[in-house]
Amino acid sequence: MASQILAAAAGRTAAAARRQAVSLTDAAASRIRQLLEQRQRSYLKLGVKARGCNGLSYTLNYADDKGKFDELVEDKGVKILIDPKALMHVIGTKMDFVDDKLRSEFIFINPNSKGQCGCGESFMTTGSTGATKQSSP
Amino acid sequence: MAPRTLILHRLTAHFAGRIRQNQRLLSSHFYSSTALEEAPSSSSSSSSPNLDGVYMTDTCVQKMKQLQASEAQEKLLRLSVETGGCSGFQYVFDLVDDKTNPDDRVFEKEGVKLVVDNISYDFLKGATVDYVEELIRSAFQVTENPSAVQGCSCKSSFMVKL
Repeated sequence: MASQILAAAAGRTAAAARRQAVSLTDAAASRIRQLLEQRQRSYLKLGVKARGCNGLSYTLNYADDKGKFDELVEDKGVKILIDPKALMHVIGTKMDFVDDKLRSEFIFINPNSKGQCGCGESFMTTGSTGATKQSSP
Repeated sequence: MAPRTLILHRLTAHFAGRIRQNQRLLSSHFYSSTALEEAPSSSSSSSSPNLDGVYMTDTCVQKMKQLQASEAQEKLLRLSVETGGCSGFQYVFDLVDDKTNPDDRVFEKEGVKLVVDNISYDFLKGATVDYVEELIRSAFQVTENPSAVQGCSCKSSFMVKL
């Protein structure tokens, strides 16, 4: 009995943790919703690739199907997929959308990021070295 | 021996052309793309004339026209180079009113003006400004800069060629 309750609780915690892997601001969520409706696609997929001046950079693509190992994150009524290779790098990231006259872009506030490129696209994550510090942009 | 003298001749011609070009640059305050068209391609050894203006793509011009439509005053696109970024220097874009300093350089295309201050201009000769639209961002970018080693792939930071 107790073990069942514990298992259920553990399952819920794990699910909750997964839901919070990446969070979205209202601006990001509404922008994603708008894009998906406009293009009639199912998901946005977040990934990382090794490039840029500081290690990694974020990638965003449309996706119609959830891959077997993709992580599905739902926040503010919007679903995004996270590439499994990217998951450990983006855990805890908050995705925002800024829109001003000169630019409109998704920005990623990543607590694991050790250094950032001027545009914020490239970043490094610490491996397992414990305490991380977010450098000022 | 023969190939070496040939190379020497070509280099001399190239540098002579560059010196002539720089003299022309120094002798005037104000630059526009029309003024640059008057300068003939100097060196015979270079495959494409390296005119030292700052250029805008059609997409960039179109975006500026769009922005201008929703503004009461005339707005200019200011591009400056600042220290920072992961490769030493970074580009900064700004939308400014029509108030330029006397030593700013203004480049115009189809009524759209791009302003570059004198110090930044040294790092921007022959550069091209584009407005790139991707899923992850839509922004003004310097897509080509002969003065820069392609440092940052996100195109906001670069290293200067020595």
